[in-house]
Amino acid sequence: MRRSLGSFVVLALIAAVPRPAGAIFASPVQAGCYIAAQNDCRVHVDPFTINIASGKKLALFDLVLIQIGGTGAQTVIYDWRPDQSNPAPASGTTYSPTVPSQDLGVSCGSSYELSLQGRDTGDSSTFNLGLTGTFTCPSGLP
Amino acid sequence: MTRRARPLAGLLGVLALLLAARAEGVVTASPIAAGCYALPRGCRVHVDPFTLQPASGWHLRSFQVVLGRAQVYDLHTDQDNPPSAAYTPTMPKLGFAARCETSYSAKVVAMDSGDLIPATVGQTEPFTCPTAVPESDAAPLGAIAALALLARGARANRGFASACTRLHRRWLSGRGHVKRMGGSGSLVSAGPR
Repeated sequence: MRRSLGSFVVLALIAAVPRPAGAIFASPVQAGCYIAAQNDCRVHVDPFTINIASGKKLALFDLVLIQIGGTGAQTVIYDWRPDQSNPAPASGTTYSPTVPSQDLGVSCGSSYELSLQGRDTGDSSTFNLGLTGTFTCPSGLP
Repeated sequence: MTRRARPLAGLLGVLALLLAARAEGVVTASPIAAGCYALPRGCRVHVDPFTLQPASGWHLRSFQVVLGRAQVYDLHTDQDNPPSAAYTPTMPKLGFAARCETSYSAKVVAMDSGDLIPATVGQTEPFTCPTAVPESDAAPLGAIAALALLARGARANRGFASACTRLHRRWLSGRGHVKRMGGSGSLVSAGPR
């Protein structure tokens, strides 16, 4: 009896400890590149959901394009911030952003990976929430 | 085994491995349907929604949309959490750029973690993109319409001008009061008193 009570107390203490940084996570990130017009390539990102720690708000998320096979340059192609006074989500612990319907412009003929990065109000730094495989943008019209 | 036979056996072995890998991890898809339409800036191919199903126990790695021989869309899934069940990707809202007055067959090529090479999972019948939106033809039509409106306006103006002239002449002829001009309202006296 005494041992089980001790275990319960330990478990309760663990539960009461503030969550470690980085409790933010996201659904898988899938993205691809297509040709929208001559010399006009776009990255299309399938819908995703960001899950934040209970009682926290989403502080930011970025879509970062990583060039493969070249300089390896990382470019933020979408930088999202919530309302200052009423940050998302309004309730609950998930947020499913809409991405621009016109998609995100990138250079044709190059290969990229797309990273979703974000943090909630309980995080001190930004975390990588998902990374796609390497996709290649078309170089011209079919 | 002779020295000559060894490379051949190796090649056959690699082929057998490739076929085995294909047989284990082949992706299946719902029917692929697509069409082509014209916009003012060119033609676009629209692909209807479809679902990809990786083989049991495997994960979807990538898929491509190919028009003719050219790849127009290349999607790769999440590196750490790729889909292991049926996956229905969203397509770009405006579809893919294509050449007007050209025929294409749209093909979807996909690969799961059990595949060594991508496999075609569906292909449409050939379809033909229409001629571009006739912007140059639309301009003369617009001009004709505008001219017609102007002519109508001119006729109306002429009628108004002639009415004014008649009124002016009446006033000059000293008839004085002018009778009602339509409607229930009355025109105040316009003549000399």
